[in-house]
Formats: sequence, structure tokens, C-alpha cells
Amino acid sequence: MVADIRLLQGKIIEDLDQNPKNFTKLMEELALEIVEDQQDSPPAERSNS
Amino acid sequence: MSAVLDVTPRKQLSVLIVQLGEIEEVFRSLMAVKAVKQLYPETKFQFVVRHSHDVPLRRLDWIDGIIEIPVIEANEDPLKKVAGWVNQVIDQSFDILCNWTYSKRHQRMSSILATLIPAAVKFGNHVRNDFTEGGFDAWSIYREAWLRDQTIDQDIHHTDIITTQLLTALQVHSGDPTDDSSSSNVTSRYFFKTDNKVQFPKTASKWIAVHPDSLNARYEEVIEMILRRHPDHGVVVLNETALGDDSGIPVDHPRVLNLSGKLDFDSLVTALTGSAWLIAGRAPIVDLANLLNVRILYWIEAHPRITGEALGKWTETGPYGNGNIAVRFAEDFQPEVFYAIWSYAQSEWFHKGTMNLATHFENIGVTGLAAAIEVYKSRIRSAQEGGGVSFEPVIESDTTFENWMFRLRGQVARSWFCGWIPPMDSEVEKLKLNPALIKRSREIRESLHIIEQVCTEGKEVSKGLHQVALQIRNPKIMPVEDREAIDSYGKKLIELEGLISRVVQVEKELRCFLVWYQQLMHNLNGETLDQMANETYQAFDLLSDGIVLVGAYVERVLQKAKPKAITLSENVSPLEEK
Repeated sequence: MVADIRLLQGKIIEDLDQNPKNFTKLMEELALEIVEDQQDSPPAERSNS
Repeated sequence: MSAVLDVTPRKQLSVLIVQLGEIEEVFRSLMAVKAVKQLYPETKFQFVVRHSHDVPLRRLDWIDGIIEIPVIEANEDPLKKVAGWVNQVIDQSFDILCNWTYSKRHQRMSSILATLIPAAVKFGNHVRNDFTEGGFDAWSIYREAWLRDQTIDQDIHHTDIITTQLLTALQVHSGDPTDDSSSSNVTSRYFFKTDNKVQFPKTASKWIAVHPDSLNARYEEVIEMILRRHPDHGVVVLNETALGDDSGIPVDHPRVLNLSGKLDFDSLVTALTGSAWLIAGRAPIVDLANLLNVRILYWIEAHPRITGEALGKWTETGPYGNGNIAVRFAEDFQPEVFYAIWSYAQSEWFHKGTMNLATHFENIGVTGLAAAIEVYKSRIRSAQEGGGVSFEPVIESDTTFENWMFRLRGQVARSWFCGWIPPMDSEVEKLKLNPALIKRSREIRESLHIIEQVCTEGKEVSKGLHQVALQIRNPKIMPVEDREAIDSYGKKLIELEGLISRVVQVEKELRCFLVWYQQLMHNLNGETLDQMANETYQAFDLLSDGIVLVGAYVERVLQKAKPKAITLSENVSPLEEK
């Protein structure tokens, strides 16, 4: 039996104009993540191999 | 803006791929997107990548947009900068968003982004209202359940998982793919539009690329053997760090082109496309070579030194495509054996499979094949066999139960998410039956039966919970007896999970089913108790289907192993006459 369509079709977002819950907190966390990632990455991160 | 159902009639959908993982993940994503683009040429693809991972994407004219994570300078306010960037990104409208980031290190960042960026349909990991992470869809949950777990091996390559996820998404939301799209290949030496930056000397007619950073220290001996035994072959050294005279490589040899420490993306692509083979261990260069259709001799290292995707199992991240060779030594790396396997594979055009590996070893005077090594050749399976890449053993050996379960887990997933599996008889026919496999198949039958019974009970319990939950009008005020019934159903579900857990403690090969159930429970999406009870029912139903499928395979094997009575006829000669 194939899985329920809800599992296969992905999450359908009903109202695209509405920001997700915790929008501001998520934005703050994202900023923190980006800063941390930048600090962790070597200055010239490998971009080819 | 409106939800996806309003846009489904139009075929031209915009898809945003969130890929904040390591560069090898970017390459793997490109393989998947290129394959999908051939089937849905109208689809517009954009990528979000980390800073500096944009370079390969900028060499492709079929990618419609690249969004880079911003770089925050020391004097800038991070929140202000990120908020400005997010506002720009969310200003765009996407039909489908796929978060394909797998790297644990960047998972949280990608999940936040997947939550913030609006799209009509979303796939992959995201951040839930309680700040924990969850998967939006079956394949994402599958990745977390069976790929992330180091003790569960299954035969669907990571590239095939994301490709199938996106194809399913487009099929559901856009319709069937175009028919006339199978003419061109996904991979090609011209995959990227780059400037030709490397001039190969005329000293050799065929070049073999080597990536020392990902190989055992004795790789120099492999290079030495290639140069000594193949006077028309040259070796091009592709390494991030510079290798000089003290590296053991004969850098002054006329047939050695040492490009180590001098590579940018364009020169790396040119060097690879000018090479017939790449010899490497686990490293992003392997995924790049896959895109460029360069054959690979791949060393499977027990503890890879290259980080990033190092934790991924080689079967799920190994070289993709046809004709790649993967080698694993049980103990020490043996350069001579490694070389001999390569020389066998590179002379296939000559022996055309009429000679086996052992004979080749004898012919070139190399011993050591008998030492415990595993050699695999990659092949893209036909759609009738389940599709995707598979690694097939070059040295034939008996099928172990775990090896078989490795394949079966993939079949269970195909049955769950594609609704299709290859014909069972032909699958069982390929097995090399042996007493150990038959014994283990017999032993596991009872455990399969127990888990199946637990699933039946689980469905009953969740159905009961669903019925009680439906009657509740206000979850904060409910009759005592309803609360007690819910309590009792909840305890029963925990008990059933405990039962499965006890069974798989004995039958390790079935642990995958417990992990799958737990991941499904972690990813319940319902907002009310009755919705969650319904999802729990479906989880048990799916689990039960998987168990029944494994059971059916086991029965086929045991049937095949049964001694068959033969009818003596006049054509059978008595023994003494021989």
C-alpha cells in the first residue's frame, strides 16, 4: 500500500501572506546561525572540491 | 496569493531548492534537478546556497536564480542585515520549496529558512511552532529515520531520494512528465560551461586524475604502478593542498601533471573532463566527477578523513552513475590490489566481461585478491528493477541476511512511497541461497508475525482513540470517563511501541521498523487529537505493510530453498553405469 497522499504531496501552505508563527524569533535565530557559520568556516571556504 | 491548488493547472512551476549543506550536497542536488528538468523542462529552478557555494551554479544556464546567504561584516548589525535579506527573498513567490540540506551542521539554519520563505507547497525539514524540527513529507522523514541512523543501511542513494521526492511533488502538483525527454543524458563532460584553463602535456594519451587528500597514504604506489605499467597514461594530481617534492609523487615525471594547490572551480572541471578516471576516496570531487561523467575508482574508507558528509553511509553517498568501481579492504589498504582492480575495470572494453577479476589478477601477477576485500560496480537500474543507482558485487559471494535486508529496506520504501516494487520472483532468483540465509529467514518469521500483530492492535487502539477524540467538543473540559479512555489508549500505544522495541532488540535487522514508527510519531502534523490518532493509525498501517512485504519475501526464499522431489524417468542413468 502506498503512503497516504498527505505524506507524499508535501505541506500545503494555505495562506502565503501570513508570516509563520514565531517569525521574529526565527529571524533572530537565523541571524545567529549565519554569524556562527561564518565564524566556523575557514576564510576561503572550499568552493570547488 | 493563493494556495497551490489554484496554480496546479499551469505546468510551469517555480521551485526553490534550499541547499545549505556542504558543496558535495550542492553537486548531488544539481544531479537531481537536472534529471527532473529533463522531465519537466518548463519548471523554473532557483537555489539558496551558502556563501561561496554559488560558483558551480553560475556555470549553468538552466538554473533560473541563485540566492546566497548574506555575509555579515564585523561592523554590521546581523539581525538588521538578515532581516533585510529575508525580506527580499520572501518578496518572491515560489510554488514549491524543497529543503534538501542534509548536513547536520547546517540543518537548523536551513530548517529556519524553509519555515520563513513562503511557498505554496513545502518539502523537507522545517521548524515547528514549538521550535523543534520536523519533516514536511515522507521522503524527508525517511532520510531522518533510515539514512541518519548509522546502523540501518538501505539501497536507495541520496541522489535518488531527492530526485524521487521532487518528481513525486511535480507529478502531484503539476501533472505527468513530458514523454519525449529521455533523449539526452543527465551527466556530461559539458555539464558546466567553464573556460578551458588546463593544458594537458602531449606526453600521454590518457590521463588519470588522482585526489590524494581523500586517499590512503600509499596512493603514491598506485600512481607509480600506473606510470610504470601504462606508458601511454599520465597522472593528473588534483588536490586542494599543494603537494611538492617531499610528497612521494614524482612531480618532475613527464607524465605527471601536478595541479595540487592551484585549483579553482573552472580548472578543476577542465582537469576532470580531460581525465578518463578519477581515483579518490570520499570527497566532494567524487560528486563533481559524477556530474561530468568521469569514471571513478572509489576507496571506501572505514573512517573518512574528509569531513562534511563523512557520516553518511557510502552506499547512500558513493559514486553515482554507471561503471564506477568501489573497493573496501577489510584491513590495510593494498596498493597493488587497488591498482589491479582499476586495470581490470579500465580494460573492460577489451575483455568485455569474458574474464573475471581473479583471472586478471593471475594474468598480471598480482596476488591478494583472496584477502578480504569487497569490490562493487555501480549501475543505474532499469525502471523495471526499481531505478536508481545500485552497487553490485564484482566478486560473487553468498548473500547474507543483512545484505538482503539492505535491498529489502529499499523495496519497502519503494512500496510505501512509489506504490511499486520490482517482481518478487526475479528479486529472489538473484539471491545466492545458503544455509545461513535460510536459517536466519526461518528464525525471523515469528518476529515478523509478532510485529504484524502489534500493528493490528495499534490500528485498533488508534481507531478507538480517534472515536473518543471526535466526541470531545472542548479539549479543556471533558467528561472524566473520556479523559480516562484517552489516558488508557495513550498508555496502550506506549506499551505497543515497547513491544516492538523488545522484538527488535533481538532481531536487529528489523530495528528499521521501530525507527520508522518513532519518526512518524515525531512528525505527527495533526493539530487536534482526532487528527493525530488518525495519523497514528496510518503509521501502524504503513508499518504493517512493510512487515508483510518482508514476510512475503522471506516466504519466497524458504519456498525456493525447499527440497524438490524429482521424478525418476527412464532418461536418468543409474549411478554405476557412469
